[in-house]
Amino acid sequence: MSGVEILPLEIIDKTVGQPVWVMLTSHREFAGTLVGFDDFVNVVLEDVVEYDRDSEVKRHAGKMLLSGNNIALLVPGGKPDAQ
Amino acid sequence: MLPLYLLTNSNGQHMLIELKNGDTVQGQLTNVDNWMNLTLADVTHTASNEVITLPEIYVRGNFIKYIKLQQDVIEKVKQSSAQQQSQGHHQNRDFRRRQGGGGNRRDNDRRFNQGGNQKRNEGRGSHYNGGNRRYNNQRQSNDGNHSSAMGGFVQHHQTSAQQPASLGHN
Amino acid sequence: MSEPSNQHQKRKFEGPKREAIINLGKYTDKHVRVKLMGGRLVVGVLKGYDQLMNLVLDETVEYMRDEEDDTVIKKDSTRELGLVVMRGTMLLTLSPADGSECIVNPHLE
Repeated sequence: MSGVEILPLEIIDKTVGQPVWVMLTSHREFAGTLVGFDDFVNVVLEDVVEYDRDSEVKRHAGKMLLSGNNIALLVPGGKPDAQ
Repeated sequence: MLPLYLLTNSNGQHMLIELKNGDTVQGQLTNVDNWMNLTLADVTHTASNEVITLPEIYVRGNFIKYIKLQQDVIEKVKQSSAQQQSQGHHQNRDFRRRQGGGGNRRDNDRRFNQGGNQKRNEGRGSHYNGGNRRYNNQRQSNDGNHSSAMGGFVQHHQTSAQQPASLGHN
Repeated sequence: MSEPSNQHQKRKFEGPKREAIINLGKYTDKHVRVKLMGGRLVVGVLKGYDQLMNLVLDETVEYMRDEEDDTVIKKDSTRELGLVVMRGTMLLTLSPADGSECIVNPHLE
């Protein structure tokens, strides 16, 4: 077996600049463009749509800092049928 | 006897774990770590509406509400540690060294070294530099498989003399 | 110095470990079932991981929870997520999805 592994943080790194869908531990979700992230996976998103259980709650223009404290899942590529 | 010591020395014993969300996990303990994360084998996992059997499960320590142990667990632990002793503390010394040295760390933990330490050295930008990360540049602590005494791990067993020496010179 | 008998006793028992107790390498390319903090249940093919137990899962399926009671998973209700990154800090339990057998709850009729 080769020693080449796929690292989660590398996947996040590759998603920078792309749409991403971030799911929190609660039913809240955020879909936007990934601007950047840090060691703790605090995340900066741009032009974000906020969802609560699949229904849109709010649109945020500009940049948003989303605290990594509650982030459970990140899906590169964004939310299907978004925006 | 401290709880974590008790658990660490009860490998193979059957136990029932209740989780904070009410689920229960029953099985044989196979491994414990410093944070009380557990791995169990021959598991029955009961959630609110289903029961499922599994060959193995990993449970995060901080999600455990309580663990129901066998009545004779303390006896069994004392027995098993007495057996270990009779095999010679010689063996224990090797075990500790292996924990701190390079052998085990190399396989899975190569990534950990890079992820944790190297990123911090490069400074925290918002953009994560994936460039160097893949290759293990950090050889310093992994090189000596043996010579780096404890490598910072599990210092409980060392006499207290060692610790103050490192703390004192900052 | 503490009592000699205490020290002696400490040497008898192994201390807790500080390295990973589960080797996720053996689950690579296998389906795993992961419970997350907050009640999410996710099944996917493990593609990658790190020491902090952040995971990369492919063909990920999320099992939806009952609207009223978050602890009840609706078995037939799923949504597909594809390739996801899962945070190790939110991981609660991990088990292989193959080799698991569902027993019909005898209390339900």
